[in-house]
Amino acid sequence: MWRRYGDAIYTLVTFAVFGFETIALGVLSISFLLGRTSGIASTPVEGVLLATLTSTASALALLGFFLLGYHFTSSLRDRWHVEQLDVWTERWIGLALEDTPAEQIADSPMPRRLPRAAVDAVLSLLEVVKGDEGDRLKAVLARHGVDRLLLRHLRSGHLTARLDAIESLGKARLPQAFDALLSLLEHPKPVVRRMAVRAAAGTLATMTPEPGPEGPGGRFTQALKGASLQSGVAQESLLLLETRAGAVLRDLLAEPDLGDRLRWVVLETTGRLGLADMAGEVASSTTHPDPELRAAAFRALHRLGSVPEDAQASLLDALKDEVDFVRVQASHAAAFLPAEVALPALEPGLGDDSWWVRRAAAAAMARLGDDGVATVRRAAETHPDQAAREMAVQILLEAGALDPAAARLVKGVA
Amino acid sequence: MWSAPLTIYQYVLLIYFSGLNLLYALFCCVGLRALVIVFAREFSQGSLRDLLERDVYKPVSILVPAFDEEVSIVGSVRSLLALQFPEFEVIVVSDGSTDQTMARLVDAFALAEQPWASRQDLPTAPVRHTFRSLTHPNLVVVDKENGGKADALNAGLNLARYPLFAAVDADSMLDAEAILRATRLFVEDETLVAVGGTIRPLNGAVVRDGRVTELAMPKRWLERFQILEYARAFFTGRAGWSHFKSLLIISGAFGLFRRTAVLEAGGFLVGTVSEDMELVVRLHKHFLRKGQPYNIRFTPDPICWTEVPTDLKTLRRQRNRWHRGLCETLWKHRDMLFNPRYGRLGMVAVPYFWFFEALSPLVEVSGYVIVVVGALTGFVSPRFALLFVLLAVLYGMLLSQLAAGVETFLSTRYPRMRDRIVLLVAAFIEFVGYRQFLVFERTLATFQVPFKRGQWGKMRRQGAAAVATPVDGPAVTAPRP
Repeated sequence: MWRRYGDAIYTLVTFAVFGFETIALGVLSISFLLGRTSGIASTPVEGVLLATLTSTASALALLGFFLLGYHFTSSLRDRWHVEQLDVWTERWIGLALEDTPAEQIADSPMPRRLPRAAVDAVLSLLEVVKGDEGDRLKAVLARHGVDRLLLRHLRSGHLTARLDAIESLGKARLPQAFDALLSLLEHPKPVVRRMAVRAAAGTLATMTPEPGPEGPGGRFTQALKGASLQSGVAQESLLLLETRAGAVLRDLLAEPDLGDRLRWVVLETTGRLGLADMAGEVASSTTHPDPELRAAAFRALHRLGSVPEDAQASLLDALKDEVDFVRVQASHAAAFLPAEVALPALEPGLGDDSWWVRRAAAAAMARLGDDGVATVRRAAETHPDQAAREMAVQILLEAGALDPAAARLVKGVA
Repeated sequence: MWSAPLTIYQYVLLIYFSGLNLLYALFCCVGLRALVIVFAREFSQGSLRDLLERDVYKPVSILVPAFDEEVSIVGSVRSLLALQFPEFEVIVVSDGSTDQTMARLVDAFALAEQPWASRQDLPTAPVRHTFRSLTHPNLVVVDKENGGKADALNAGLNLARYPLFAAVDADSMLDAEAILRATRLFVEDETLVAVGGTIRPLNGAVVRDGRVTELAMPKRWLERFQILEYARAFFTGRAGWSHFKSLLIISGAFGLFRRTAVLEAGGFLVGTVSEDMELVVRLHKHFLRKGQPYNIRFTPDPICWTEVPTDLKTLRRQRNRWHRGLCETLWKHRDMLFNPRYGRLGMVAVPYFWFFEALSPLVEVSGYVIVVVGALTGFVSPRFALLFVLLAVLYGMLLSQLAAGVETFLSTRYPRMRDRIVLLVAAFIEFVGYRQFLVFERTLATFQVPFKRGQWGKMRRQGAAAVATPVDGPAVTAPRP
């Protein structure tokens, strides 16, 4: 959304202009106040006013010329950069698809220092190209010292340069940058931590698995545990692990001192990734004393589409939990119990005080095959509570099990 | 006799002028820094794609209150239904429309009436009918009795199913990724309760299938000045307040809220013309009183396109309403002024809005009067007066130019060089007449606050077809004026 070319310079120019203007306005205000004795429009004060006016006009001219210049150069540069990107992308694709072993790519005729467009093109390709082809392109980056340059920028004092380097390394997914990225999870600036954890997760996803706490997965797990990250960011990083996520999530759930927040994240991620073989581990949190964690566990089971047998009792208990959002998630998960167990347990939910529980219960019943739909239909017609009847009708309509015209004829619903 | 008070007032004006401009400069700088660091780098295109692919999002209910919007409603709803977002519902609430709004919706989206089991979290005017689209399962339309925009939003909230909701004006269009970019902030910050997006004028743009695909400068200077005004307000002012966690305004045209937080605070207030600002102030108050951590942010990235007035009469009404809304909200929450219980909000943001926003037209007009009268009576040297007015104008131009500069760094900037230069020129000439015209209207509005409470005034809409250039899109069909 934002053009990065020249933006940092523009920010510096603006800071300089407004810094100078602040001083000018300060001097002017003081002069006004000190000029009380000789009159506000006295000659000395007027002189300061004139000087301030001149400085503001100069600032205006400077900013104006900068912007005009930027308009011209950026338009030319944009055109040129796009052309160069096309040229380099084509060249990189050719190189990636060659049969030449990665080690011999060093002999390819290339400029010693790659131009910006060449680096941008290879980084964009690396976002999508993996396997041997990806390794070839990474070899090119190493050959031209781009990896070393990015690692150097990772320690830059300029925040923008550092963020640019993190993003580039996130795209390149270079194993040699993994530990440097992990070390940034302790950085005092949240924006650096957030970008670094994403880049590190993306890199880990392409690294060769090594078991144990000293392996990359183990190092990532420990870094994540110690990092101060928002739940959403931690979750996003775990999702970025792709096929490596299962092992890391399992390790995290097995940690005895795992904090509640990170446990919640792990449960959410397991559900979102649909790691059905982890249903057993997830089920152990269904009896957790924290209702947020109980709800997260049921939500995960619902997403995984299975409820292990040893979690059935806790699920049936949770349908009567005192916390409504736990009842909601338990109702959703109950759709994966056998119909003969689930239907009698879900039916009272239709008359629950909470609209959300009524909806979840009706929706879960409607998913339990013909018996479930029949139960909801019966509830739509005969349930003593009008709110329950209305909800049953709505769910039947949404499931396509009831015609809108027929819905208006259902008793008490209009 | 008048000499002493006039002299004192002169000093007040000078300090006011310096203070205001220093604050503007500060907001410009912090706003720009946030743009460069966070939005240009952290929320890049690549990371957004990852977000979409990895299923990290919170589903959203999009509420569209509509009153007599027959011109633009179908185009707006089409553009919303085409959003790039995995899970969302669009709830259009026709607030007792007296024109063809409902008929157009029924025809365009094959609406079928059906009963609806809605919650009654918030009281509203009676709902007459609820419809669901047979072609778009995520579109729900509510036809209710007239109760005002806030009431319509509350009715929509009663139906909303998802944890987040976006309030979008019926005459606006969202960028395809707007919701995705805004919801991302909620993923990253669990204390976030509301996010305001950037609004940009639609006038002159090329619209294809309900999407703004290319920008072009509108032909009228009136519209060009508003482009600059919007850039100044959003890219500098709001970005600055947001940085200091004191954002008081989220535009009614597009804001994203956490549903439970808004319900907890009591929903939208009926009977005001600035339900958007009022809600934000109330959210601040609510969470500060509870002592619960929360955050309300502005984000420059999710961009919403809106039709800005093309004639002076409509512009006057709009600005009059905005100013009355500001005053109404500040008055309603006057207990926050200089109240340390509300922290920096009570001690800085609210006083700023009282003195530098609500009362600014009065101060500006009195400044003009004093300069002219002073110069004519010999109380102020005409040369001094001229220099001072010139300084004020130059400073205003500097801020406008900065806003025009920020526009330059948007990837969807005006592609034609001529348009970009016109925008720079507009920064210079908006100070000749246009600004004074608006100051006059706002001054008038200040005195009308007690008499026109809750009155919206009729807005003349032309629809995207009239203000933008349509290209093969079903949403817009008429030629550009």
